[in-house]
Amino acid sequence: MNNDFKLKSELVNDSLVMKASGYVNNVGGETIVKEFEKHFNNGTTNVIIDLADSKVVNSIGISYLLEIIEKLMEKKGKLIFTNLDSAIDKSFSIMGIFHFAEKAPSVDAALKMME
Amino acid sequence: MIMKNVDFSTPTKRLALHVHALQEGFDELANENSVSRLAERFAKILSGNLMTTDINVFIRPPGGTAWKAVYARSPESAVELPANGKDGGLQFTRLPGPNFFACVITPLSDDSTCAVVLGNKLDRSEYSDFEFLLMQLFVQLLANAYSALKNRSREKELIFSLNHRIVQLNSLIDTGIQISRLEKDKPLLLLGLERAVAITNASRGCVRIEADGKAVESLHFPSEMDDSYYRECPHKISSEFDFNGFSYSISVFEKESRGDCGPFEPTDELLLASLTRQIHVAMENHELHQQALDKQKMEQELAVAGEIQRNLLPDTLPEIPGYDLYGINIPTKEVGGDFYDCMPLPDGRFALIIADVSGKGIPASLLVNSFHAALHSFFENDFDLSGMVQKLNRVIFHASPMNKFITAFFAVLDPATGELEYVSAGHNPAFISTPEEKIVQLHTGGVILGMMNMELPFGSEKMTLEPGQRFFLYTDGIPEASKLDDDIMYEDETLEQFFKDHYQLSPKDFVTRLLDEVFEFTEGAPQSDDITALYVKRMS
Repeated sequence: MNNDFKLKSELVNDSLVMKASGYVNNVGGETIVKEFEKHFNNGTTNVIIDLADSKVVNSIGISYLLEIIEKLMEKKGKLIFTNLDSAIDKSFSIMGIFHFAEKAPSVDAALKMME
Repeated sequence: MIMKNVDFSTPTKRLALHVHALQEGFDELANENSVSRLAERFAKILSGNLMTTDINVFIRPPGGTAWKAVYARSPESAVELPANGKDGGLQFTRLPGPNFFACVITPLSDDSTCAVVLGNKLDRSEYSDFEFLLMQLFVQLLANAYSALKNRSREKELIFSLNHRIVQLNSLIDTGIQISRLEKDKPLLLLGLERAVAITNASRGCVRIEADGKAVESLHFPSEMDDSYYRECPHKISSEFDFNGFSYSISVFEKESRGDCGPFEPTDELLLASLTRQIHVAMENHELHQQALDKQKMEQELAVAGEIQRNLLPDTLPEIPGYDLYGINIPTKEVGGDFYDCMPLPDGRFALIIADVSGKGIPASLLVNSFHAALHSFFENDFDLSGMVQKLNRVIFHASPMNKFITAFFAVLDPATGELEYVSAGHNPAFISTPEEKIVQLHTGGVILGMMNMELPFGSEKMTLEPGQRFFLYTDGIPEASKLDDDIMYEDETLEQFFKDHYQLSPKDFVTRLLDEVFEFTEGAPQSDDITALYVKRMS
């Protein structure tokens, strides 16, 4: 499947910051989970997912994000979404994601929430 | 489980401890969220109760023959398992050894089968019958925990699925609102496409726009796709509509599931069709809105042009001693194509003009403007009437487009002598009454202005307007006035008769009565053409 999805990640103050770009679907969701697991297995439990450049998320993509949430909950970790498009924000609310994860207007704001 | 301080002194105490272990085990197993973690936890619990670490858990899918190790210290123990399990409940088999001592097979709630193979004890001692019994109890516990895990998983899937349906419906509503706010077709289609892909869980989508069966544009999400994929993708649904001579086809491709793609469901087709209808309606609404705006703008422009046009018509006619004059112009639209005036000339004479431009609206108005400007320019200097009309024809010919002409009637009146010279440029014949109250139609002149520029001469005629004589100019809006859905017109003959019959009226009363009669004749039908009239009566 051709998908222009791209993911950049970096560790900032023990928090994993992943910046997604493109359609968060099967391909996008799996890419995010793989990157998350790489860091999670090394002990990272604070995660920020920036969706500034992702305006479309389907339910398969959401299921991958829920997988991250479940894993973080086991380790009492924290997940913050940033720069959410209003449509995605609404979808996440309906799917119950914000019962287990938070949202912030920017990555900087999320990093402050992680402190 | 720490065994060091446990009191195994009596069978009752041992049993009580194992019952406690069973309860504790179930609590622990019931909290696991994956089959592999469940098997691993089960092995640890069993290991603590049976003093062995060689515990192997296998699962065989419904209808399958191959056992899959979900937790195995000794994967080779799978060879001890039967290829086909028997129907029924839990089966316990003592194995001949030497490495594996027992196998317990139990059906699971989702029709798969679980097998547990037990290896050597840590102290190499024989398993007791009680321990074999305990093993069976723990396997039953594993089956129950597996069932609870699957139920939780199904419950989660159900909640996820219900929430997803809400997201789909919500997205459908929100998309309808959002696309209705977009003014350009392309962003509207792109947003619609993105939402169509997302709510159907498609891996990609495309909007194809065609005209006369040929593709004119394609929009893609999330990335470009080639024609062969578009044509040959086995899992594709589409929805189409036609608008403004173009065919729009919105297609989504390959419905996603975790790690896989497949065909779409009937619900997806309904969702795509709904979204497509919303896009279609939004485009139609924008078109209608744009048309309304254009119409409003045009009406505003017409109103301005109408104002300019009205300024070209005389507010009042000049007073000419010994003469009574009255003129009127009733346009059908904001901007009409008729014109009339009475202009004092430098030598004391007066020019009487009436004209009718073919067509209405702004084009006619522009031509009337040119006509008016040229007329004033020519009348400011000495002129020969027929020569002036010829020059005017040249000006109008160059100023007007192919389908725009002017019929006009020009007369120059010397009020002192009553001498009247006129030229008709293809206009309706003016009426003049003789001293004997006979009516004469005035035809002398030439071609319609602006129709051809062949320097054809315009003839003129001179006559004298004596006291009591009348002179009437009009445009075709009067004789051609007709009833609604009826070809019967007021006609020139009726007008001429009216002119003949109402010699006693003042010019104003004459025109007013004439228009009353015309409107009575048309029985309230909308006015089909501009009406303009100019009436002159020599009083003394």
